[in-house]
Amino acid sequence: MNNLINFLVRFHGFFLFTFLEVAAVYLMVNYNDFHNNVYFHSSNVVSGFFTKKQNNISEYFHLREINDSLANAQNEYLNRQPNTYYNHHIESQIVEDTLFEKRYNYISAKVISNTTNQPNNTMTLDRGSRHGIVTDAGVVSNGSVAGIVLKSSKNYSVVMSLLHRDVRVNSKFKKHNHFGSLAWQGNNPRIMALENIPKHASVAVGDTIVTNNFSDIFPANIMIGTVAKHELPPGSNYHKIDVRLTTDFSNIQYVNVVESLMGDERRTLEASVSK
Amino acid sequence: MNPTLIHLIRFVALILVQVLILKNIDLGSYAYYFKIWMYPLALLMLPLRLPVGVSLLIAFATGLVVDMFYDSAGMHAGACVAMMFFRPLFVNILEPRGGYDNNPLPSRVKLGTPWFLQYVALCLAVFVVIYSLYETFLFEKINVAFIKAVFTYLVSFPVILLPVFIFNLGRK
Repeated sequence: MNNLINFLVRFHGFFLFTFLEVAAVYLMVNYNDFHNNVYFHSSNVVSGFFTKKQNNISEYFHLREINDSLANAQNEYLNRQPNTYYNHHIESQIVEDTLFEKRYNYISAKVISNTTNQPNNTMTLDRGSRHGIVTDAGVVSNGSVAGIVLKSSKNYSVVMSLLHRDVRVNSKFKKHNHFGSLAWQGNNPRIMALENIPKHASVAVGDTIVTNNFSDIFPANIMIGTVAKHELPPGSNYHKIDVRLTTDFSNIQYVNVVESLMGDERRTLEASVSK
Repeated sequence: MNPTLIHLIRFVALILVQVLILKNIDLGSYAYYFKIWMYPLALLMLPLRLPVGVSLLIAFATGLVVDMFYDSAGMHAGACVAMMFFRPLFVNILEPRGGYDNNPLPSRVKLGTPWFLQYVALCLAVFVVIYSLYETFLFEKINVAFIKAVFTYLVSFPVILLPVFIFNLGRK
């Protein structure tokens, strides 16, 4: 303390000088317009520079909060997007007619998951039991067969596409009604094998294969594909036929699920007889 | 006569000459480049060994009085304070071989005309430089400030010596 006082006393001239000069400048800046303008201009430049630098640094420390708020904002934004909503609307219209009672109804659905390169390929649709989709319903894409429903939940259903080992589609030649069973061999996603066509049936490349009317899964005469290759193995009673599918499962997007309005009745009847 | 009274009269007289006569000299467009200062002489005539704090306060007060007349708040005060702050330095530099008397006055007769001229020249230089800097107040125009300082110095130096030689101030 003594040292400080000694220091102040010893250099009192300098301190007084500094104080008086500061006072003079203060008077200048406060009472002269020109000095005032210069002072405020230059102090704005200087303080602006430092404020900007300080902002640059302090902004960095707020990045976490900013990130959080941005993430929240983006989440809110995404939640408002149309694609986060489940659309229950179905375009279907049933005409009541006493002569022609409706047997099949189509339910439009979107494919939301699909595979083509597995041994057993499935698709997932965004329609389920509340829209009328039941197990074993047929699935049609662009007017040609696409698969069969494996299971349906409230809002979704899983479909085994034709590229599934368990699929058997009752099918026939459009031109002469010889029928057989269509199955996938598991290699080429565009080709299925048509079995059980007797050797007396005439087969030519390009013949159209459609669904049979024996089954209740699909309506009759839904397009399946065309004959790509056929041969009659020696000693065999059946043709070996490769069918090129009309449906391209690699770009399938929308399908129509077949709702069989009389299916229950038929199954009940057949079950009671076979007992 | 009481020396304090003499100093006071000198202050009043020089400030009146400054603000009533020199201020009203019409310099036309040259007024931008130089001013005529005489009143700093009153400060320069103070005793050489006056305590620095007292001299600074006197300088500030004097500057403020002149500022009131010139509407230049603070500029003269700052320049006077600066001049009086550096004055002891110049006094020490110019100290004659035999040293000063006890409580010396800046007497032209006693210390010699060359001593007095150097003393006024150095102190006035500080005054005009600081005043020009305060007047310009912009670093961009610091060259203008020095041009002003040089012209003001060249004009004010003879003017400030006029009363010294006319009235033979400090002959005691």
